[in-house]
Amino acid sequence: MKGTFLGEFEEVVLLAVCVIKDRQAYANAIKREVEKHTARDINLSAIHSALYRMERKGFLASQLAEASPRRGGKKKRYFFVSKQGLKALTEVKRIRESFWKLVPVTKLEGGLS
Amino acid sequence: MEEIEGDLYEDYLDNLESKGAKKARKIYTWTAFRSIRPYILIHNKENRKPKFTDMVKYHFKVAWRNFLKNSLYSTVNILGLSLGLASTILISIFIIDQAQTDNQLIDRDRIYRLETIAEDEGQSVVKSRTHSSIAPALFNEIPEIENFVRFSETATTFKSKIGNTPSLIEEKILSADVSFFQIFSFELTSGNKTDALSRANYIVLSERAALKYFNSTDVVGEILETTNKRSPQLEVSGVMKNMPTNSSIQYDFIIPKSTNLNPPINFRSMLVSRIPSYFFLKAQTTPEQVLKKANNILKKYTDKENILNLKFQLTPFKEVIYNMDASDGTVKTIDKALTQIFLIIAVFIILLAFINYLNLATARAIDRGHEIGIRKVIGAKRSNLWGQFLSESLLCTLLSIPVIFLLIEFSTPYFENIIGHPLTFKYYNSPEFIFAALGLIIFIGLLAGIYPAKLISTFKFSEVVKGHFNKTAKGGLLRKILVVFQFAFSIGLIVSISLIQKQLDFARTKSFSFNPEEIISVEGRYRANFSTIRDEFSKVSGVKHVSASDAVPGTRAISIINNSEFDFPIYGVFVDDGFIDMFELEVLKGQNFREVNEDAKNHLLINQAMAKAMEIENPLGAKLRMIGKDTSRVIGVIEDFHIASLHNPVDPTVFIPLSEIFSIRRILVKLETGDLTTTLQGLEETWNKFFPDAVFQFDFLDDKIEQLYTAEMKVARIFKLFTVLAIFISCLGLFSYASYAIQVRTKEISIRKVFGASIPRIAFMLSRQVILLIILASIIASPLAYYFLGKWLQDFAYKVPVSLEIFGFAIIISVAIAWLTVSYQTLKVAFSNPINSLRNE
Repeated sequence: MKGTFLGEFEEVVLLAVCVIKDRQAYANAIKREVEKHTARDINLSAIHSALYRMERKGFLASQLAEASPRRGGKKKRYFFVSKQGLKALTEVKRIRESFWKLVPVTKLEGGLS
Repeated sequence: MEEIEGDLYEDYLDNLESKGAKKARKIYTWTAFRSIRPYILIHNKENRKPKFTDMVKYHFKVAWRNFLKNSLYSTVNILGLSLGLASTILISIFIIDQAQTDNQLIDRDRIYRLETIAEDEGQSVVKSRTHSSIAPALFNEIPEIENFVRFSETATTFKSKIGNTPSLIEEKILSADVSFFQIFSFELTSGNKTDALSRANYIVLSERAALKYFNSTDVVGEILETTNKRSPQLEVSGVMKNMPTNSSIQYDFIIPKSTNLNPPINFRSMLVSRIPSYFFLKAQTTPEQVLKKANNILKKYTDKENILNLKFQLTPFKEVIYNMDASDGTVKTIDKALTQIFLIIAVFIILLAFINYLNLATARAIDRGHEIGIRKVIGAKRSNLWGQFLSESLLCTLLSIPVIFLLIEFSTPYFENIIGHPLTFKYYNSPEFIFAALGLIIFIGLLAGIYPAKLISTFKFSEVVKGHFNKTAKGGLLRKILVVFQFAFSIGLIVSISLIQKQLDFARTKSFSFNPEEIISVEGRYRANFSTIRDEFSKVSGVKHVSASDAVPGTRAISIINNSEFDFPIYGVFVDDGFIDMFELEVLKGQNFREVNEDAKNHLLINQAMAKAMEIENPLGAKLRMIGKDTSRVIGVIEDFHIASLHNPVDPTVFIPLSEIFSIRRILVKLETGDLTTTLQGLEETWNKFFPDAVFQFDFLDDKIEQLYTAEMKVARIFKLFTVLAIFISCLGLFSYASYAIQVRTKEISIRKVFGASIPRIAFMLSRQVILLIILASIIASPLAYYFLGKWLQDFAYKVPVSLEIFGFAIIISVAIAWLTVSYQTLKVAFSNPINSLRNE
């Protein structure tokens, strides 16, 4: 079903939200986190679209928070992973692992070297 | 939204540090551009307050649900509203169309018609035709007149080669001076405006006519053959675009009257031909500047008193078309009164529709007392309730818009048929008109929502919710008044249409002692041969009687005889000795021509009006001098009968016996009612023996008489249409009123039934109120209709009495219609099983 599918980029963003501590996950922080872990240059707008899309799917919840001068006096929106989000993440992980278990070790080594 | 702006800004600062200003700005722009996505607009869940538009959306939703719930009433409501508005819009289209007549003419403001004013019994009578030499004479002497043109209508029979069989076609033709195209800016597609009419055998065709006769529009130089001995061949000198449908001048053929700009000026001739004359004034010239010189100038040309004493006036071309009394026969006139009638009816129809709407909306608003009460308890403010009712009203109006335009589209051809000409104004090409129409529709919708909204917002809701509220009390009286008003209007219209119809029937047939339906008039130019033709016609089987006359009922052209002995105008009609029998006229004194043999040439018959006007005790034997004749002797007085329309009293008329020296225009044939076709064929064969080159053309007299009353017939048709409409709309109103009134009483009726009331008893009880309302309406309508119809009838010198039976008829009709309207509801309730409405108690 399209509504509950978790895309690759979405998964990374969701993981980033999980990683950031103290419930401080807003778009720029998430962007920095994703860039750090994937070593990719990511456009902020891509993060936004992923965030809002996942919020609509119910994987994320959000809340408006304080403003800061560095943001031109605009408020931040903090995102939190919902129960459904966690479930989706674990589900993806479980599927991947069940695959990993089936991949022969030799192939793995051969492919990597 | 806000957080995204913040994020963007922060991102920009980050990039500024790490990547430099240029790159940061680039990324910022790109990201901002990419951020334009729908989720931003959709995503505003928590920081959003309910807005005005939310309430409107909500109101519409509720309105729509309500609409579906009461789909019958809603349909009735929308239908009534649409009908009313559609007719109003249609009438506006008509009025605009009239206002746009001739607006394609360039320099229309500089065109004036030369008219004369004559005093007749203290009233000034405008004559639109003037002596044909006056216009050229004034043009020669007055520099402010840039140009002049005279034109009149004639007819010519063309020999056509359409198809393979040669045939004869008679066409209406405009005979105009050479300057015609320079003054009236009709467009020529070939030929040129200055000399298209410069030679006597030239003719200008419209594209339509060119296609008809030559199957091509490139026909300059082609020859059209006619049956006219003097100009058997006409050369096409130009092709003009078809005259626009909103032009008041409508001709497909134009031939020259005079081919140069200085036609001969001759005031001496005994043959006075009068012709419509138009001046084209120089820019910034007023008619007064021209007129003050006019009479002096004419002294140069003539010393005739009757010409020098003429009083002239110049009427702008724009206004010429509104003068129905002084029509010159070439320019199509517009009846201003008709426009006014239309306007009045439009206002009333829209009022009816509006009332309907109001009535229904109010009834339903009251019906929803509980709903409103609960709304208020929950916290709806007065403004919310207003909003709700206005939205509902608006929804109805919006739904009616497509219906309205569909109605207009479908009824336009029918409407054009009624007004007698096509509409040139196309509303869909005029955004202003469409906006105005939509504006009107929405305005009416909102206006109709105000009353129920006001009513509702002033209710005591505690009572409504508690169930103490009496449903019929509020607004009930108002609704009754409105129903009465609607029916009063409808009854008024029924009375009017019956009386108009009666008067027209009276004018067309009943006012004569003969039956105009069995007489035909065969037009032609009969000279010496007329008696032979008459005799031949009599031999055709099926012909009862043949006579000849130059004026018959239904014609306007009656010659006026100038006679210095009397100070009133005398009308002269040339007739043969069969005329009296033809029209079954009674000879009151003296005898008919036929009965006196000697010296018949100098005998005269006069009508009663003449006898009275002469103020002689015994007019028999009186001597009268007629034009160009010796003294004639009156040998008989005949009863008055109408040649012109019943609007005017019978004129003093002299009937002059035909003699060989006069040509005569009409032969009248009275036919046996029976096999008309054979008789007419026989007549045509006889005709062709005498005039192989001319077309046998005839009119039934009743048709001709009808033409005298075209304006009235139009009024009658319009009244008929709007009577039906008004009745229909009123019935819709009544239908909803009755069904509501009955619905409220369903339980009462069921209980009555349980206690043993019979079905007829209940049906009677329910209809009684409606019938009472209708009777009340007729009591209101009758005196008003009596008053207005009396005014209308004043236009006729002879009229039918306004009789009680017309009112009785109208009342019976409306009661019947009303009863039919409510009977469905009444019977449904009367027959229903009481258990259905009582089991919930």
